[in-house]
Amino acid sequence: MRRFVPILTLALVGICRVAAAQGVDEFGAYGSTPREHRESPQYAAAEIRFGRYIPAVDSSVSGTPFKDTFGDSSRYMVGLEGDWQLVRIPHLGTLGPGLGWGYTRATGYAHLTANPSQLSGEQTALSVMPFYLVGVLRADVLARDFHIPLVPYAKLGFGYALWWASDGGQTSRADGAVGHGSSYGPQYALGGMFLLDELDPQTARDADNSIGINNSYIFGEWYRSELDGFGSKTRMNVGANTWVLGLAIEF
Amino acid sequence: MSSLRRVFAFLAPMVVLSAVGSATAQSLPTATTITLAPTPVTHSIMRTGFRLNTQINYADCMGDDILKFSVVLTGRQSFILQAWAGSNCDQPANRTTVNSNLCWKLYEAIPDSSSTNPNNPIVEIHVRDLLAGKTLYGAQTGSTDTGGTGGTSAGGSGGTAGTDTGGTAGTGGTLDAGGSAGTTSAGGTGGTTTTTLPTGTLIHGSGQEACIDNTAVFAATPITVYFMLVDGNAQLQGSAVKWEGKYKLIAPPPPENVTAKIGDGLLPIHFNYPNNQSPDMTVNGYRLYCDPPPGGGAADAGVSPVPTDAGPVIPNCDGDTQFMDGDRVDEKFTCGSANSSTTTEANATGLVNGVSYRVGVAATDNFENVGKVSLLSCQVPQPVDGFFKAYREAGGKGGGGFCSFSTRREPLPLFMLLGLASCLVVRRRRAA
Repeated sequence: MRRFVPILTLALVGICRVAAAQGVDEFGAYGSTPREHRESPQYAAAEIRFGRYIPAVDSSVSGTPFKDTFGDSSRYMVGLEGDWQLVRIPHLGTLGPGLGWGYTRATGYAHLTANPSQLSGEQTALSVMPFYLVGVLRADVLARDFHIPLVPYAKLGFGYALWWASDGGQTSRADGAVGHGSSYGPQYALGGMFLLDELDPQTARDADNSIGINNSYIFGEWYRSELDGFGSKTRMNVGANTWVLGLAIEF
Repeated sequence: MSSLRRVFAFLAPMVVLSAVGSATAQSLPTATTITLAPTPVTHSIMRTGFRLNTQINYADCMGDDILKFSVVLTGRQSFILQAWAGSNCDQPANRTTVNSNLCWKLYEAIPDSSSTNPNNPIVEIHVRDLLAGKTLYGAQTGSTDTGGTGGTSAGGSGGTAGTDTGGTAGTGGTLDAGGSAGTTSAGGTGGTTTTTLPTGTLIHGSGQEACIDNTAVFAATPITVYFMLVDGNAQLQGSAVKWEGKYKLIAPPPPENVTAKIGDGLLPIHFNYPNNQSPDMTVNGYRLYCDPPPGGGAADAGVSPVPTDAGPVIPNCDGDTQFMDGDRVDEKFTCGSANSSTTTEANATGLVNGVSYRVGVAATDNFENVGKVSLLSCQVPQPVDGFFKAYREAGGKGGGGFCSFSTRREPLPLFMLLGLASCLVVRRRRAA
């Protein structure tokens, strides 16, 4: 980790220097930064998200039914998010609501009731489809004012998830209850985006001029959703404390 | 006066010619045409699946489905309405030359003028007769022989399907277009019986043997029916009209490596083809068959569901069998299906825990043919604990429906929703 910090610092400084280098020759100006061209208006952001997702089912019950059934290997989620950048705060960034959707599914084989150590051939599954409404603050001051291609951000809001369990392709039933339901609770996230425009400013400008994409990013995010009905005993906790990687654009 | 005569002399022939011309125009017959109605064909056997009206399968043939064609005629006079099947049947030579082996006649009648609508007759053609020209009379090769060592049909066009009752299986003939119907068989100790296409003879009353396709080709075959009006000398009047269909009598072969695993009231069945590829490219799914059949089958046999604490049950399929591998199985034994050509697993459902079942798989194709059943696998459904059951047993109370909601236990979300709605109302008022 100690080695990594100076390398990262040097890399960022290098990128900033390259981004800042400019001049004029017999063919005209060169090396201008993306900020100097007339940028199209920016209203929104969109994200494609991918990350590990282990629903916290076992945290709300006495045993470990999720781990016992599906094992402890990693499960993943894909998702989409759209943000409306409602307000631009000068020398800080954008603020606005964001709406997200995701999907994940865990599958395994049911255990024989008469011999729990033996797996049957019947597939059992839990599918989770979270939605969330969050406020998003993207602090793009570093990129805009200091040409440092990093945008830290934070999200805070409310999550709501649909979930359904199946056995042998049919909706599960147990104790007279059908195996699907919903859960909700708070959701929050912290993350950082790397501005890809700096790697190829000309392509970035072309994307803005032709299709109105102002910026594109890769991002990493830690997030936590507590989808347990605010501690309700009648809700399955399908939230997660996890990370996400993805691509984002602003337009 | 003489000039008046001249005028009259000039006009008289003109009037006569005009009258003759008019009479000629009135007596010209309406042009002879034949067309098919917008929905040209219906079937005597009701179709409930997805098949097109132009597709004919093995069950249609075995049930002797009748194709009812709606034909529209003009200027039919006393011409004969005929229907032929084959290739280029609008060419006289293909209908009249002995052993041309290209066309066979399926219908012949003079439309009944006393009928309600003689210009829109319904032509009924039995599927077996339609296919007989291909399967019985030489438009295909091979033989149904059960013997003959190396029996090879060598005789020109479409060596015919023969029947042989001796020796070992022959290699069948090779497809040969053109020439005359194959009538000889070489190399077989049992010999091959061949049948010549009865040129010009109406094919009628063909039996189930017309449903046996010996080509061993897992593909659909085009077949064309020509409708035409002909005079007493079999000369075509006007043009013929074609109806183009396809038939497929050979169902896909069953998959292999069929294994049944344990489920709760069901058996997950796994299967595949060698190299994961069926030789029949028209496969569109699979059908599972269970013995005893699902539903009342086990109950009829006096079997009760096994309790959850009964312990593992060992499968035992020694007993009377109601079908064997390689059979075409009755629909009442169906216990599951898969509607994908690429799947390698499906669940046999509706079963009773504790009962031993023989389970086999048959492939289906896009002509709705159902093939023969695979080798059978034996297994016993037994109670299992899936995730949701385990969750509930661990004390979880979730579930009951997406919209299940308790206003008594969960007031917070309601307050949040009310708060959000209030904020929106206030914001709208301020904006106004």
